[in-house]
Amino acid sequence: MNPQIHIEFDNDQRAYQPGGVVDGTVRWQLDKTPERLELFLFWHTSGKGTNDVSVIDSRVYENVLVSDEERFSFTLPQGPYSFSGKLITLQWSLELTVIPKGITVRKIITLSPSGSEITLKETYFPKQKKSFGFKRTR
Amino acid sequence: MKPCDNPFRSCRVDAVEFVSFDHTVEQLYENFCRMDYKAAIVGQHGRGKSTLLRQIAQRLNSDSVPARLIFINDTVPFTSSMQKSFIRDIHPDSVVLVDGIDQLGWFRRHRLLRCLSKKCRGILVVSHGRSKLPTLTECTSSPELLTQLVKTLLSHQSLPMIDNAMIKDIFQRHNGNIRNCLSELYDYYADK
Repeated sequence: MNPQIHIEFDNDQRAYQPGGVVDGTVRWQLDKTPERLELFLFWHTSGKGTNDVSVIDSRVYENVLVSDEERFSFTLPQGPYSFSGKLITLQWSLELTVIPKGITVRKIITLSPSGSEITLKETYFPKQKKSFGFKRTR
Repeated sequence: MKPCDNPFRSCRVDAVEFVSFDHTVEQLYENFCRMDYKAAIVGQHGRGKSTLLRQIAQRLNSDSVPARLIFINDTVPFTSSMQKSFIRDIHPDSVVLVDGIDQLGWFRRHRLLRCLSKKCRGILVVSHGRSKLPTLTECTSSPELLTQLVKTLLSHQSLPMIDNAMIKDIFQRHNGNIRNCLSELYDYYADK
């Protein structure tokens, strides 16, 4: 049997407002009793340049059965928002890892006031015309 | 294309393994062991020296040889006090790998190498020019090498391969600096 691990969100919700609550269930069906399972809530960036990552909260499930499930609930902070520009994307994720097997599953969620990822667009700033002559000062 | 989907995003580029048409990493590792763990990897910017150093560090760890990495660049300085405490705490069985030794002045570089050669099992440095240590390999680049890396990064992606003329042009414009070439290709795909 192939080991299976899942992260399921209540009402299949994937988009959250700042300060919102992420509720759900983690399920696993393994071939051997694990030492523990760890669930992390974090944001990370990817794109051009250095990748940043910040773990916001975590849960550890110890003394668990070979097949079982657990509820989780995380309160999201006010930011940073999920966004994507030309250089980087910032994504929020939940990641479940089986220790010591190292099997991992990751689910991406969106944190923004509108409920969808913010898209940064390149802005064109036209050159300001230089005024000719002298400025009158008092 | 979103940055997190770009095949040339930094986490993918950093994960690419060292490629050389002359030697495998395993051959270079064996040579390094034969050189009594004292050598230098030489080459210009963006030729894969740091990638090779990182892979040799992994190879040392898999052989249970403790490897300690010192990484120095403009934003990560290696101060005299850091150098002193590093040398004081170093285990005599460890092999020290120094990336960016050229950032140190002549005197500090000379003193670091002298102290490390007395206090630990081995040293592997990355340098842009020849150093006092014997050269393990001189990393070079070519349009063919860039083509191979591009193919690796585009594999399993439903994106068209770039033609050879464009690869050659990018390679020439960046004077063979593979890191800068891949950075330009990030921008190329970002606009797709």
